Amino acid sequence: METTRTLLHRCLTQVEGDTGLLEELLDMLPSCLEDLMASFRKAVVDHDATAAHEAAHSVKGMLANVGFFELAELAYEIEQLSKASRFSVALERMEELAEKTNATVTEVRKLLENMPCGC
Amino acid sequence: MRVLIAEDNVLTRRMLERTFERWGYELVSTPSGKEALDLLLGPDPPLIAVVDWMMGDLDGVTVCRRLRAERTEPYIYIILVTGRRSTADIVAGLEAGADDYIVKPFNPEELRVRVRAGERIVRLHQELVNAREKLRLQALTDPLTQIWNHKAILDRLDSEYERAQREGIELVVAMMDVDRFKQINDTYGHQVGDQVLVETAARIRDVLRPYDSVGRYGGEEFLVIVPCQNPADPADIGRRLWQRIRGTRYKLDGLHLRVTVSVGLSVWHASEDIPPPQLVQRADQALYYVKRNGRDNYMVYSHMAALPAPANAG
Ligand SMILES: [Mg+2]
Repeated sequence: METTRTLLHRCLTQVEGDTGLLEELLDMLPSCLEDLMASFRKAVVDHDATAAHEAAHSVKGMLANVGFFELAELAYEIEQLSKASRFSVALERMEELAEKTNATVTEVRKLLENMPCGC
Repeated sequence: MRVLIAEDNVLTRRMLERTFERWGYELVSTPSGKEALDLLLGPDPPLIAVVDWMMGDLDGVTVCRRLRAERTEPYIYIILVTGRRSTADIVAGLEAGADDYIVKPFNPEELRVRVRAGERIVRLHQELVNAREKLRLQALTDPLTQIWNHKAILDRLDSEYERAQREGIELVVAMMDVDRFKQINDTYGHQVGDQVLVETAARIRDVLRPYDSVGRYGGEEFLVIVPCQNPADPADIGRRLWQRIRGTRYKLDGLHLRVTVSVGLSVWHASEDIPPPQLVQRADQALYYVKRNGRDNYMVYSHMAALPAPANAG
């Protein structure tokens, strides 16, 4: 698994070094994810493979754009599980993904705050 | 250059907004495919659009397809943003009318050069449209006087005639000729003659409203078209044109020339069956009458019948 430092570096590449933007995106990420999770859970309850797949797809795109590529890969797996209507496994993985994402956000934030100027 | 961002994910949208702002673009952004399409089809649209493939209300491919079907100008350069990587998907996007695509997660540097490529295309297209418009106007304009040329003024007459028929309004046609123009040319030279024509065209325009038309019909002949909402008063139009030319001397290159014109007019009243060529012919006959009767005057075709036959002089 990649180090948080490598991850931070990639996140900064995604925003072309704009630390202010990265902070803003990291602040937004948990609630954006929560909104998509809510759609995902509803889709699972409804056994709606299309809606579940779309929600997972959005999660994937969002994570990837910020630079969280490994987490985006997990979202991709959930997308595939949803497509196959494997809802219970998909939901379990999604809950795990949310936890991991929130933890990663916290770590990257901490590193970003302690980053020396001109990093 | 203004850029539209259509992206339903709030985080990705924010990221794109800030990125484009950093690059110095003016932005319009929306989470909705429908709103994106409305903006692109509306007045003064952004000329570059970065459109997400998957959006809740209307997907990016449909936005492309509908935009291309409903608008050809100005050309809008569309970059589809997609999480899909299969060739079939990309082909579908490009066939729907996208110019380019970028796969999520987008690399900002790559996105930037793709947007720049789009800007180049949009600029080239604008230049082409401007050049074409300039050529079109050139083809219709008399180069000396900058008013309509012979063909263009006759085309205007046809279209004004059709409009008058549709709207039930009247149309006055005036044929004007600069008196003794050959003499001006012979006395002062062709350059002064040209300036007399330029000044005459300018004075005719002074008398006319923006929606009236004037063209150079021949060497020193001008054709004027005046649509009239109220019952037309051709004699009044004729008098004003005639007076505007003769009223003050032309100041050209230190010369103070007295220039006069002869004006013949005809009228088309709603429901009359007189086609445009005949209107011109009647105005020309009235002009001929003025010429035969000492020039420097105006005459309405329908008033000629009430007058004694013209003197047999030239
Ligand atoms: Mg989307």
